[in-house]
Amino acid sequence: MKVIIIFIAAAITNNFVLTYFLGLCPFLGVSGKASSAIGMGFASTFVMTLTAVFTWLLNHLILRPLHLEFLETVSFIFIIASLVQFVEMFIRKTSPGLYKALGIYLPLITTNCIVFGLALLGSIRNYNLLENTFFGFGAGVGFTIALVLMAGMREELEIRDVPEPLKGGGITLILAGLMALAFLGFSGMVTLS
Amino acid sequence: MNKKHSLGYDFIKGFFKENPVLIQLLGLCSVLAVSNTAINSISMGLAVLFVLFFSSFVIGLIKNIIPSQVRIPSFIVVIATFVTIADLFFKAKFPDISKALGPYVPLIVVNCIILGRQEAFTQKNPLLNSLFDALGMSVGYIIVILALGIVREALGFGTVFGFRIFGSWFHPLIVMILPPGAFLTLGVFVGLMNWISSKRRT
Amino acid sequence: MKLEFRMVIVLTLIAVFSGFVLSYTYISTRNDIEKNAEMAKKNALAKVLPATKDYEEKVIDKETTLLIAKDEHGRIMGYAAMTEGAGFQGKIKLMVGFDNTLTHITGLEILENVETPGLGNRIEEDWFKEQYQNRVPPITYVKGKKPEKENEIRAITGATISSKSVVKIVNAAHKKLRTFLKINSGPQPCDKDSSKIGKKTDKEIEIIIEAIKELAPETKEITEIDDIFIVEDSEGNKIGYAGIGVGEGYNGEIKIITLFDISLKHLKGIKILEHCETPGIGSKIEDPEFLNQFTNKVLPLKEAEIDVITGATISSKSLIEMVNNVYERIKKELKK
Repeated sequence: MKVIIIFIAAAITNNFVLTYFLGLCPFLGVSGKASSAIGMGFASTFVMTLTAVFTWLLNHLILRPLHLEFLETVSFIFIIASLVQFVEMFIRKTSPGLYKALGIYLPLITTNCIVFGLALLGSIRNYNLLENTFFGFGAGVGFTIALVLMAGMREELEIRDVPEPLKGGGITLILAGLMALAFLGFSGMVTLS
Repeated sequence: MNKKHSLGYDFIKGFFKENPVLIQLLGLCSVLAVSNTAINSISMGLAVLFVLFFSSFVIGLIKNIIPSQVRIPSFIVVIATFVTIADLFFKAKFPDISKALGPYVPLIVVNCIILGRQEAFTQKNPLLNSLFDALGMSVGYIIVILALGIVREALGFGTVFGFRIFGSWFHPLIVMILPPGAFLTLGVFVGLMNWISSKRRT
Repeated sequence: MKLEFRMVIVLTLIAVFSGFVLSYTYISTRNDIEKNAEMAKKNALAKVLPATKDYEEKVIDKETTLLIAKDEHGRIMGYAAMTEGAGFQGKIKLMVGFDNTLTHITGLEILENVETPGLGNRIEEDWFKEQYQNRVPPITYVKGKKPEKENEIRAITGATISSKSVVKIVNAAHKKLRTFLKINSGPQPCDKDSSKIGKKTDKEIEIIIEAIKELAPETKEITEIDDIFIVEDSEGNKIGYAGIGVGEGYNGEIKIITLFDISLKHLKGIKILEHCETPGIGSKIEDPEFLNQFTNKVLPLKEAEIDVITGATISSKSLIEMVNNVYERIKKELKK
């Protein structure tokens, strides 16, 4: 089924972080520990799936019929910011425990290029609503995978000897490069059609 | 409240000491995605300069009337407006570059550098200082993305700005144009920057 | 002012201001953006179908636009499809040109792609695009070796998927064009294979004899030597010479039979044997009124002597040329 392929492509062969360079800020900042990585990943996936749905609706029900495509950038980002706000309020009210764990990451998701990037790419590729939703979900899962993998490796690195100048950003980027190289091996596994 | 610095300081600090990419690790998405050739890098750099400068300008003007709770959405809408202007400009006057940069022009909106500067500097400082800060940070960004672009294009294509610089003995390293090459090169740059900074401190 | 009010008002003001600025920018840049798209289209068309002087656009579906390429006389020289499809990384937009019988590809241009630089991106390289020239769709691709058959192209090493995508898009476009052009009333490309004249079959001889008899009822005997028909009456007297003329009509070939008197001074008449001109326009060359103009005209024919058919100037003039060609040919043969 096409949606399955879109999902796998977004999560693995065309991983958003390692092939499209999206979602890097939190990738470098939050991936220090596996637990925070998972939290960030889940929260992001949730927001991204919802974003895929709402931006699709906005795009196909309002922007395109009214030939307002040039407002895509502004209106998408507006939706994302509002969505994040709502999600934050919702989680705070319904599950204080969850809020405590994830809360600090939520505002960060607004400015995460991965959410906006996914909305834009979905629009460029003209997916239908179902495809777009799986696209967003897949992107989130891929993001989580990359985050968790990176976190695992960085936790290892803590106890290893990293040259001083490379500690922190430098070694993380180099690691990301090696991961990207590995993920290149997935290319061709599925055809994006 | 930040200590007020001279205009010159606010300008220069973006080059090295507080370089947005190599020290603050911001704006990485665009730096990595678009730096596969030198011409793409400089185009993106100029776009960021345009957006950052004018966003800081507008936000610097209206910062006092924006209630704190809605500052992030307000900043973002202003930034998004200038990004769209830049995007339309590229599409109209430089269609080939627009195609090469693709969706990464709209992504300037969520470039952490721009929002970051508004949040960290513009809203707390006089307008003129903010303008110089914007210029300085942009230059710092351009330095990095251009350096990355030159290295990647040279090693990945054998050219710089389209001009061959190596002889026919040179076998291009395709990986430099692909994501892994970008990550690795930037990682090395960051390491270099850290090393230089630590040397200067001692 | 209450805080909530202020929040809403400030946000709304900013949004409204943003909307204004963007609308203004959009309107000022819209022309340039459209012009760029037009330029790109024209350039691509000139590359896949050179010698195009003008074109007509027809939208087939939401991904495909048909461009009918015409020369300076308005004749259809070929068809191009501007179409898009999925590549490896995203959408590939391309223009592919076909000859006016839709059997061969005349050229390929990639308009947009976001494939991997250095790999899939290489579909923009000249060698890859040039492969498609003169190939017969449906196209298939081969890897790692030279293409042998007339429908094969070679995929890019390391970029099979991008190459395959281009092949798919080209084939789909070809199919869409064939379907569209068949079901559309309008000029149909002629099929050379179904012509009955020129193959020296019995059927052909029948047709020719009948045509000559209509032009000269007193005909009794027809002898053919070196593609010239010698026409005799019942007393064995030569009454004239006839020959088959072939020329270019609007949609394809027109074939006629011409009958000259034995002194080769006058054209006794012509008959249209075959044509595939547009019904109602070019097909009017069959009108008796039009053809009567050719009766008893002095050879060689002058253009001014014949009133062309409105809207079918090319076909009309082509007939004049054909008559004169046969005249010259027979004259030369008889001199020997």
